[in-house]
Amino acid sequence: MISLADILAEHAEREGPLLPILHDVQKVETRPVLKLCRAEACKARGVEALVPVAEGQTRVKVEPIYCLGLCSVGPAALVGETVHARLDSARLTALLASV
Amino acid sequence: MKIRISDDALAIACGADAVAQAFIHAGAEVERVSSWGMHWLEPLVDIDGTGYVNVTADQVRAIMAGTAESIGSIAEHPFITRQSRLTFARAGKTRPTSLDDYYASEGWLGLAKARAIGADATIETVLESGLRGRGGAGFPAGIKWKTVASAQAATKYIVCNADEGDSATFADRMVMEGDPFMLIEGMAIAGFAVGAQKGYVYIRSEYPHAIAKMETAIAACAHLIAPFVVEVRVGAGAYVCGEETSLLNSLEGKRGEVRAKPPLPALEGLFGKPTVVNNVLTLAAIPWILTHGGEAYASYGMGRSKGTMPVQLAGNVKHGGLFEVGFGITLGELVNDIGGGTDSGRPVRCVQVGGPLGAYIPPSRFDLPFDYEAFAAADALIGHAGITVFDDTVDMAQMARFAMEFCAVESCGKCTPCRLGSTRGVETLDQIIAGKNVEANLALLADLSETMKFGSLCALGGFTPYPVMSAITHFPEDFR
Repeated sequence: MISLADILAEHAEREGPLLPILHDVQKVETRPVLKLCRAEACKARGVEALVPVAEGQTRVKVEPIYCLGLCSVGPAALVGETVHARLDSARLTALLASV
Repeated sequence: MKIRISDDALAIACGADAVAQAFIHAGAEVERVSSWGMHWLEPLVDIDGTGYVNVTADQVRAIMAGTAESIGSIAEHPFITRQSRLTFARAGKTRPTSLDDYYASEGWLGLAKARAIGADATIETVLESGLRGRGGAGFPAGIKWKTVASAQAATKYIVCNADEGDSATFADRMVMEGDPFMLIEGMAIAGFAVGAQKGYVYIRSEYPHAIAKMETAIAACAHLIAPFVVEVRVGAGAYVCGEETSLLNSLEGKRGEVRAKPPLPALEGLFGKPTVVNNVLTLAAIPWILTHGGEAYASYGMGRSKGTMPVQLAGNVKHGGLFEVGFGITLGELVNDIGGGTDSGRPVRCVQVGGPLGAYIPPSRFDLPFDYEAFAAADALIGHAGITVFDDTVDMAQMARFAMEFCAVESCGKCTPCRLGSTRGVETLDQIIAGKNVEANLALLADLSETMKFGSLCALGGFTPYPVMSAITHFPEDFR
């Protein structure tokens, strides 16, 4: 994870007001985001075993989310407004490569 | 040939869009309808009432040629015939945002009935139905309505709590995506009964499909519910905003922090005005109750738990989905007979009923009838009637830790037992899991849980001890 200190260090040589620099801070996260449900029903269906798959790459930012209402067909994930269900290792790998 | 495929988010997540596209490419006409709620069969293709299950795009030709295998009549599937579908009567049958379909299936009859019999008789009908709040608290809806109706104020509100954040619950989502007019009709009836001019539906941001369907439906029926007005408001990812007072704060543009009660929201709710705050399922049950009468609704159920409950079978369950049934059915029937046991094929170790704040229940207690009082007597809660099934690979110490961790992440921070107690709870469980001073730490955890249960302002801190303590009580071997 990039910390505020890293960003300020990166911009330390830059002159000018702070606001445009803070705008850059907000733009730092440019990777696509996949929200992986880590709530109980998805845990019961094995989402924790998929976490190493998600963490084994850096191209897509993977964040936890608590419940997408797809609790009978988990593990589930949300990318933008697109929902994905019945994820296993192979499907998550393919999904991460496609977003 | 009439082809129906659901456009519910769950069907879409299972690939329904690609299947529908394949049928259209093959020259067929496809109607996108609500979901039957047989989730393990999605994408489910309904051709003139016959079901084709787990369909993929490459099977479309065979289905159209009549050479594919079907499950026969969907309506006669045992998962459907064993239900009493009142709230979900239209599930699988109508196009969610089609006013024509809604009219053709008893739509707007409840609102017409309410207007014909008047506000007082409408509240009487709801009282007679015995309907209790489906969000989890189980408070009689008619009494809440009566309180708001008799409050003297020029402005009153109806707030629909659609912040369905509990894991294992999806019935609210299915109502909003599959039958949005029914929910709007229920809100309009509530508005008419208590004298409220405006209604808000507070939907969580994790439900983009529900938000879109509700917006479309509200625009399409505005003239039918006038002068009552309904508006959608979208949450921002906070679980605690499902608690009614923090939901009201969030609606007012404030931090989603819990309010102390009293004053009751019924008297001083949204913007300080008398407000009915009801769950989606409570309001969605109203049109049926008005159309068919309170007595007809009360003829389902047992004891003081009247009517039907849309039970949600989730987690590691073979036949997951929505099962609407009268109260009184046992947990064992739901999990084993209807749910078919685990999807993994391994033995069921436990179920969690009522979401992240619900108790873990072992199979030895599967004789429990689905009833508010019976569950309370067993130190458990029905909540929003979501059931998460776990097989024997589950580590209950980890699940107890997760319950505390979830509370720590989602606490609004207003009261100390919840804010600090949950973090101390995670730390104590880490000690136990590491095998340090196990007995002393378990005693400490029990004491902490008591403090959280009785000292927290709302159900988040107050009910987190249920999953924690039930895990320790029923599965002590996972902690020692």
